[in-house]
Amino acid sequence: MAYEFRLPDIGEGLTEAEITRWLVKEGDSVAEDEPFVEIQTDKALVEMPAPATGTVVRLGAAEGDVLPVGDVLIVIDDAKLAAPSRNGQPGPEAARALATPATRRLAREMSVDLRGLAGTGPGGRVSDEDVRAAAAAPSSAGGYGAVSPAVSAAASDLASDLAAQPEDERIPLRGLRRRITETMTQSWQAVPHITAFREVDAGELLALRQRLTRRAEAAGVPLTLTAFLVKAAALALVEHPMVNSSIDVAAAEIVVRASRNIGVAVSTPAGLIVPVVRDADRRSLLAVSAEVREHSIAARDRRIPPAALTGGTFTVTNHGPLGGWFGTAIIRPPEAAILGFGRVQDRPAVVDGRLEVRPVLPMSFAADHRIIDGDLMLAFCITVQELLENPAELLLSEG
Amino acid sequence: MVVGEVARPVQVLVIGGGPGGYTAAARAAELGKEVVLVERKRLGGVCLNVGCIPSKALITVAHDVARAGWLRGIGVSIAPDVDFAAVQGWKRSVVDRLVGGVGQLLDKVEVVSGTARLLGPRRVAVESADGVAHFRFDAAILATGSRPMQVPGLVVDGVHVLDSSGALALESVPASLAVVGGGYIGVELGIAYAKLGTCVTVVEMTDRILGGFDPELAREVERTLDRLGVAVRTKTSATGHDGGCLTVQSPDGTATIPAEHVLVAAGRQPNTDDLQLAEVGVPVLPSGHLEVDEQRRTSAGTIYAIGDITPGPALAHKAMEEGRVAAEVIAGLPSGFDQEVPLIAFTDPELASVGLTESAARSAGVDVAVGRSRFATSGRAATMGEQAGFVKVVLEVGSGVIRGVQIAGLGASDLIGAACLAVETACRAEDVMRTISPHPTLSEAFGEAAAAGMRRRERGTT
Repeated sequence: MAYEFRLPDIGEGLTEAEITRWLVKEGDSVAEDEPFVEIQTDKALVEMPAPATGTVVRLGAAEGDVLPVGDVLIVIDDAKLAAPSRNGQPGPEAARALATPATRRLAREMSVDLRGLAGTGPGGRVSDEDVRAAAAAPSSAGGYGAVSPAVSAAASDLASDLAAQPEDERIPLRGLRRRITETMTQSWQAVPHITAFREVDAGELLALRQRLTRRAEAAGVPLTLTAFLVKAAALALVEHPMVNSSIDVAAAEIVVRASRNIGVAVSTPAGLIVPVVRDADRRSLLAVSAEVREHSIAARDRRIPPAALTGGTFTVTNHGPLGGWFGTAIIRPPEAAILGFGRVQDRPAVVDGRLEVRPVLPMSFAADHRIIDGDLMLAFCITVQELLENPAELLLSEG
Repeated sequence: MVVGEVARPVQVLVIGGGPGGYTAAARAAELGKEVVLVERKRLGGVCLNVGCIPSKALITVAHDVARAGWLRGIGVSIAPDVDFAAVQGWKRSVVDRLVGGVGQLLDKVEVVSGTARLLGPRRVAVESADGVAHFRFDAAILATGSRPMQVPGLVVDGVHVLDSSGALALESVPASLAVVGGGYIGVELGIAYAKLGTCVTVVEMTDRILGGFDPELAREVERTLDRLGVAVRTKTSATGHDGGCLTVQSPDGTATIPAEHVLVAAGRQPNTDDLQLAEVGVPVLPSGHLEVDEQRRTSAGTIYAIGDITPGPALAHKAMEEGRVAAEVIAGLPSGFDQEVPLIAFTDPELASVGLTESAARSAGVDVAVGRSRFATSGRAATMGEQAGFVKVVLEVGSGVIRGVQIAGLGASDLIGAACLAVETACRAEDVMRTISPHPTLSEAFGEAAAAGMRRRERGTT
């Protein structure tokens, strides 16, 4: 019988995906688990394995189409296969929100769409708090529409200004760009940022890297400066656990993260992608360097698995490649801070009362002031600075 | 229509004074709106005047009369002597008192007698014996209700061929009655008259009666019909009535059924044809219903529709909630109609259903387990000599949440209230199982059915 396979949510609140390439065509036979389509999600290119063995009856979209989650992706015919109802998108009757009438009224009041909102209560019940949390997070179930009337009024004014110039190019806000738009807007609106700047003397760091490079290359790993920075950040987080935390507004709690998973921002033509190096504090410099490099290549090719993009607790960003000096980074919620570095340059520096030319690494650190006050921000910066100015300490933690 | 008529401005105009209309008007007034309600006959609508209330009055009388038979069986001799004209008088007094109550409910609403026609998205003409008055409204709520559907060949004459209103107003108990239409209205009245001594036949076009209900529930009523000697002819259509006989057509051929009266109860037709909806560009669906959104707004933004003229069951409680929603939306509150509408039939035994039935759940792809508790095992039911029926709980396997409840049995219409609360608040079966019901009562059956559902769910069998 004909089996409808719908586009599943393959992680991170995926709402739609672009069909970049069909690997089968109508009439082809396809085997279970064999890749049948290549889709572009918010962050990565993904090959989807076929859900069943059979003949392709129909493709649900053309290459280049953007398909919402839950729409039919492919119809496969297999006489032996009974259609399991749970794989079909539940009908309207099945999709009833587990919320009381009063909570449903609150959801209407706050423009929160209860469909697809995961309740935190027993049996998946949606509570008033869940609705409020969804309303506070524009990228979640509240969707893009959950903005205050004032904001949407301003947006519609803007829209009429935009409409006045029809010769302008209009690029659909999709995929990664849309995801960045949502995350950054959410961060900018919800997180009170404070930022500190420091100049790090990179003399020792460059010398150590120079000394280790040959051994590292013998192991097949180019030792990048970024690896040292990730390692320094992870060790500083061990010393200052509150920087490695998240705020849970709904529960009125600060969640101090047990692992130090460091996201490393990678620039790609489609936009920034942030692969995560897990447990960076407990892994060797060499291992961290290898993974950062692997990730950035995969990210630039848009072939990074979605799992490598989740679970970050802190982010390191390097605005140095094009010669950037200091920059103010924006925190990626639910993380509480982000550490940015510029390009190392020779600068005049005062050493023991005398003016010297030293290699200087500019560092900027942005923190969520709801959790992190100025003293903790500076203490963290000083720890990072000390680790980078005495980089041999970074090797002590090799695991 | 008077040309150049000066229109009176009003904030909210409600057309129709039935349960939906009067609830909407009262709620809008309570929220500070200036409200005019237009009614062409009598406040209370079909429900109060010629529907729910009078039928329940007669059904109760018939049920108690029939209880005499049971009492005789256990040693209490009572021989009921029914003065049906007096019963009808009592019924009218009940209706009159309740209609008076509606008037009090509308103390802040101006009630205008007449027939309304829409002239535009903000304008209505109301025609009455005194002439035509025009109103200019900010928002209108259409609550014009429904009327019995007509059957070709059976013209309702109010003498031999009756609609439900006529059948409720008979001054004597007829010797024979043919009911055309095996829905809840026809079966309720058929059972009531059978209990009062009428020879009743039910004629139904489809293959079973009470098609709106789970077949398992309908079977309980079929047993009673059998016991009362009511003949049920399914896959049969009525073609005419002449000389005290109803002519019917079935796959077996043509037949005649002796019938002093014929009750035509073949469904209800929305009253949307006389409103001049084309004037305001609101499309009427082929069924006669109007399409509305969750806020009960029609495609004309100033015009709302509620009750029997919107899709869904033609039931007063649906109309009343829709009325509240429309009034609240007009007053700027974040309201919406998204609740489950319970279905009930005052048959014998009574039937009630809320949420998903077992088969509806399965066809919607919801993985459910079903638990039952039969009144045959209920202590209270045994002491009342009313042991027919059961409570059936449909729960979602994954979450344990109760998605639907069906009840057949004495008092099902009241027992379903707890089930409505459970379904609407997304209770889990365990919540119901762990809620203490008083003993010995019929209400214990809900908890027992929930417990049975839990056991089925754990065993993975349904």
